[in-house]
Amino acid sequence: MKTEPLTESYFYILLCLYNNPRHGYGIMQETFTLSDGRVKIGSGTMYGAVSNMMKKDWIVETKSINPEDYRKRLYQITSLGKQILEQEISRLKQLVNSSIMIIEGRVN
Amino acid sequence: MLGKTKNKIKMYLAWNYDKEEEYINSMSKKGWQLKKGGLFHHSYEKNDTPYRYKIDFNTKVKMSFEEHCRYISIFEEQGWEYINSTINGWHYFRKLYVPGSSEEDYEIYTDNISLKEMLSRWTVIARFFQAFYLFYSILYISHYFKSKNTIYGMIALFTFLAFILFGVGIRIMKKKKAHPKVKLSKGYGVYLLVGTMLISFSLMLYLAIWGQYTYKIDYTSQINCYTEDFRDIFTVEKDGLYNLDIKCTSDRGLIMIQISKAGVIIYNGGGMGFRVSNMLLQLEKGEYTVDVIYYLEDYKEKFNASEEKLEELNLTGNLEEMSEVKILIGLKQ
Repeated sequence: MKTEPLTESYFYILLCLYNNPRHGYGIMQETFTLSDGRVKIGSGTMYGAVSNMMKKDWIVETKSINPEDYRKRLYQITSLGKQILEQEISRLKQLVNSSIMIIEGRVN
Repeated sequence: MLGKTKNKIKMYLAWNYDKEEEYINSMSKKGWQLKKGGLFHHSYEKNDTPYRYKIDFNTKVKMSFEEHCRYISIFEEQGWEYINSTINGWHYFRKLYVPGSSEEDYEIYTDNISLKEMLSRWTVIARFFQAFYLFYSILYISHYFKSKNTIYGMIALFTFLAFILFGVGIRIMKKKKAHPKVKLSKGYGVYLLVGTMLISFSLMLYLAIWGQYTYKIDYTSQINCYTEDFRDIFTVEKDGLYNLDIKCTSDRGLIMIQISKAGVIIYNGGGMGFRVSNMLLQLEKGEYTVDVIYYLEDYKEKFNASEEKLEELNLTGNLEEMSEVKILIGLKQ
C-alpha cells in the first residue's frame, strides 16, 4: 500500500495516539512539547485532520471511562492508523539515511 | 458598562472573511465585543475585556448535531468560545486575548493544507453559483439577440458580471495562506456583488411577473352552436419583432384564431386545440384585430366534412350542449 506523505499535523496526531487514547487538547499539547514548540495544531486544522482520519479509519472516537470527563471525546488509533504511521516513519528514515550517505560522504 | 449593546448593518464578501475578522478584532480593541455575527448584521456588547475573533467555514457540521458538538468541543478544548453560526455555514469563535501573547496563538488553521481544505469547501459552492450565473447569462444574451429587448440585454450583462465577481472571489480564496498578514479594508466590493445579484434577480422577476406583453388575453368561455364569434382589439405602440404565443383548448369543434390589421391577415390558425410558441412576427405600429371564430354546426357545411372528421372533432352529439373553450394569447417583444 502506497500512501502520500503525511502532513506534520497528521503525523503528530497519529504519533501522540500511538500508545494511548487522548483528547484533542492533549494531542495539541503533546505535539507542542515533542516538537519543542515548533508544531502547533490549531482547532480548525485539528478538526479537519481528525475528521479525515476518522473517515479513513485511521482513528476512532471513544468515550472516556472516567465519569468526570465522560463528555470529552477521546481519540484512539486503529491498527490501520498504526500501519500508516509506521510506513511514514520508515519513509522518513529512508530520507534521513539517504541524506547522511550523501552529505557525510559515504557514497559519491 | 456591561449590558450596553450595539447593532450594525454590515455585509462582507466571503473571500474577505479574514478582513472581517480583523474588523471584529478592531471593534474588540475599542471595547465592543461581538455577540452575534452574520453576513448582514452584527451585534456587539460593551465589554473592555479584549478577545481575538475567528471565522470558520464548514457546512458539514451543520448537517448533524453530533458532528456539530464534536466540532465545537475541539475548539473549546483550545480555549475558543463558540459565538454563533450563520445559516450557510460560517461559524464565529472568540478567545480571550492574553496581553503579550503572539498572534500565532490565535490561528485556527496552522498549516496550508488544512486551510486549503477549508477554502475549497467554499469554492465548490461558489463554482455552483458561477455555473448558475453563466447559464443565465448565455440564456439571456440569446434572448436579447432574438428580440433586441434591452431588459434581456441588461439581465445578460448583470448575470455575467456576477459570474466574473464569483470568479474573482475564487481566485482570491485560492491565494490565501496560513499565517497571513491581513489589512483592514473598506470592503465596498460586497455592495457591488450583492447589487449585481439583486438587480439581475429583480429584472428576471419583473419579466416573469409582468413580462413585456404588448397584448395578453386569458379567455375562458362556455360555447354551443348559438355562441357568437369573439372579437378583440389591441394596439402595438412601436414597430418591431414580436413573439406570439397561443394556447387554445376546446372540447369540441374547430376554433379559428385570426389576427389582422386593416383587413390584412398576419396570423391565421385553428384546431380543436392547438399551440403556438414563440412565433416571430414583424409588426408595425397600429391597431390589430383578434377574431376567434367557432365552427360547430356550420363546420359540416363549410368544410364539407366526412362523418369521421365530425367524430374526430366531437361534433356528432347535441350541439346545443355547452362546452368549454380556453384561449391564451400573448404577444411580447
